[in-house]
Amino acid sequence: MTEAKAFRPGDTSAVEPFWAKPDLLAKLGARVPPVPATGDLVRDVLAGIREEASRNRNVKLTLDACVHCGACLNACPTYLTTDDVGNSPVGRADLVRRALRADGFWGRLFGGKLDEAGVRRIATYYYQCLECRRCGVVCPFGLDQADVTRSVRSVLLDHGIASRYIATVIETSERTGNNLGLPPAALRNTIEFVRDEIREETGVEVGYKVDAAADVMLVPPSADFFLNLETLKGYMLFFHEAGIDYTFTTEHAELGNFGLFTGETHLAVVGDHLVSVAKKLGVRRVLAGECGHGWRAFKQYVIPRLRAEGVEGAHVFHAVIEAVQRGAVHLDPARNGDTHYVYQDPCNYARAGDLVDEPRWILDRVVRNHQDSPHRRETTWCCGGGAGLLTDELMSLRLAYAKLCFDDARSVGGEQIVRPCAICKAQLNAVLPKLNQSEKTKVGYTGLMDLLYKAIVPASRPPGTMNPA
Amino acid sequence: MDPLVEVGVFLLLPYAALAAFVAGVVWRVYGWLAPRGRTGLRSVAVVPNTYGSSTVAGDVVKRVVVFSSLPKMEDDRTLIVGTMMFHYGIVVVLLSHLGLIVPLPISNQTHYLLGFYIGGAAGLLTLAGLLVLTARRMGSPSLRRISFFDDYFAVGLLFLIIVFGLVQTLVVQPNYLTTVSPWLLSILTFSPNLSPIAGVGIFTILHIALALVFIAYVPYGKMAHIVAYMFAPTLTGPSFPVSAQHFPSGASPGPPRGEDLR
Repeated sequence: MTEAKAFRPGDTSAVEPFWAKPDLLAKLGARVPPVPATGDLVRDVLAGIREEASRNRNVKLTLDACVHCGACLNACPTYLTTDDVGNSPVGRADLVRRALRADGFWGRLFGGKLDEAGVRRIATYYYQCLECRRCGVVCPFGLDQADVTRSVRSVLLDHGIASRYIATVIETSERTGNNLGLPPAALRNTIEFVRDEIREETGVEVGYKVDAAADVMLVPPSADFFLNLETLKGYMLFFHEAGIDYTFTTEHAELGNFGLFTGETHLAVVGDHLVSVAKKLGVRRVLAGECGHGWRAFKQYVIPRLRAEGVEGAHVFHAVIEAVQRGAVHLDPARNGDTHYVYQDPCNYARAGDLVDEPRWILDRVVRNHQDSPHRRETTWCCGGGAGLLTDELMSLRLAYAKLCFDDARSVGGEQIVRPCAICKAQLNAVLPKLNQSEKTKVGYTGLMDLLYKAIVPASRPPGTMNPA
Repeated sequence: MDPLVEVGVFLLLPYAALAAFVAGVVWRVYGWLAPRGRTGLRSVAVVPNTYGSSTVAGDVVKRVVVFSSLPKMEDDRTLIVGTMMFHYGIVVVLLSHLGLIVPLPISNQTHYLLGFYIGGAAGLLTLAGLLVLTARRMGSPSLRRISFFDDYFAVGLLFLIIVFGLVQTLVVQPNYLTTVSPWLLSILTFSPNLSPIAGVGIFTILHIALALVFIAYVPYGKMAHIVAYMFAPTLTGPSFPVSAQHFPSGASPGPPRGEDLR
């Protein structure tokens, strides 16, 4: 593991991600329309931000209408845990605002013109933002610095500055159809393996299809084929019990869309690919798996485009609710024991995806002993790994950020944190062992489909009602 | 009164301020309406499940009227207390000023009394709120780092306007209904008549002059926040509906409903 840079409280200016090398950026750049550039980094970045402000109302308003009241400071997980104003919504906005102001009349009068070190400083602080949108909720004017972060990162990417981790994930996703670069054979093997596990654990022989015509195409985050196999079991047993004809796709085995973290162009490349795969397979409906930012990208970018093609899109939770309501799936919450579960909304479900009541509806029916984290719904804390920060060199920040949701769960005596999001799960998988060690606790984490899997009381459906592909 | 001051403050400045205000508002609102993009996303609503215009409007009204989005009291007491005192105070103060030009079914004596008690109390509340907010800004190293000339300019100007206004209302108590009112009405009806205002005292002159400068400044600096929130796509854009009813059971699901294809 790479050694993460530590930071002193009040100064995170030295904690930066590894930056993407030019050859990697060249591959990304080849897939999207080129942007005009003079080669002068400072001029290009300023011109790019001005262009974003003229195109994107939220960026324009944030630059214009902030009154520096500081309400966002008390809401921002990155500021609250590091005490560096640069690492706060208003602080990040002001890095850009100052640069724009200094690039004209006021700059000639007072100086402060942006230079390359200043661009680097902007990049560093903008890559410490979790894009959790808590600032947008508390801002009296709804100014959403998280979306400004996306826009500024997008401009930086246009001119050769991006986190190596995010750029790698986008490149891999655009080349292979999933963030991890899992080849079709590996995906099929994992699915087969999980089918066998389900048979051993429940006695149910679940059917599934891969890359075949079906009513429904299921798109989980690729982490569910790798790290979160219990979640994958949940989907497969659920679809079997609900009698839904569905297929996996190896061409787009990824709900995640890291383009969301850096702006529009790659969000569109990845999202459009998903739409084209759904059309190719001729499915009628596409269902998203458990992934917060993936859901935001899917709901707010992909579903409108699917609907334009006559294909419907929803979250797997919607399908679960529908199936349970029509009595197709039987659940016994006692099967999950008396463990104290604490539900924490993933940021992108609560503040960007309108998915707050659905997971609670399901949780009510799959576990006996659960409650909301004190910071609930649109006040939920980010796990500390959002916005593409899920990389080892930023571990000092991730650990600091994670303290908020960890303490929130502990304050109500939670034993298991329920966060139905692949990034949350990957972050908790990495930080919980460290936090548990230092705090002498044993807090665990789980997804929601994982709990559904255990709660399902299988009906005596004849095995193999759907043929494995 | 020096005729130069008279013409400058009571004839030229009002129309210059009005022109600057209107031009500034047009320029600002155009600048906010022109960008059509929403970072490529269907909805950027920041509060979950805000469907329909009444829910959206309700949320915006709650933010504006009771400052519902601000942090909890224990997290930022001075912000909440200062914000409420200042804004509730200044709304009453501004409404009270309408009494200068709107005929009221009350005697002048009652009018002066109401001005003294209601206007004076609201003015003091506003001033106290402004001081709380300014002390908060200057007292916190973090907030000092994010404060600029604009922040102090707005506060300084408001401070002077409010103080001069209070001195008039509570101490000098001029006969504004026979001096300021007819002049203001003449300016607003574009038939300027400076004779009623000719004899007013120095505090009235300063209060009016600075208020006019403030009106001219409103659209250009942070005061733009008075209208900016109405244009925020995070607040005014409703959520995009996707729900369990979009996943109907059965072999042949119905086509997507028309209103969802918007």
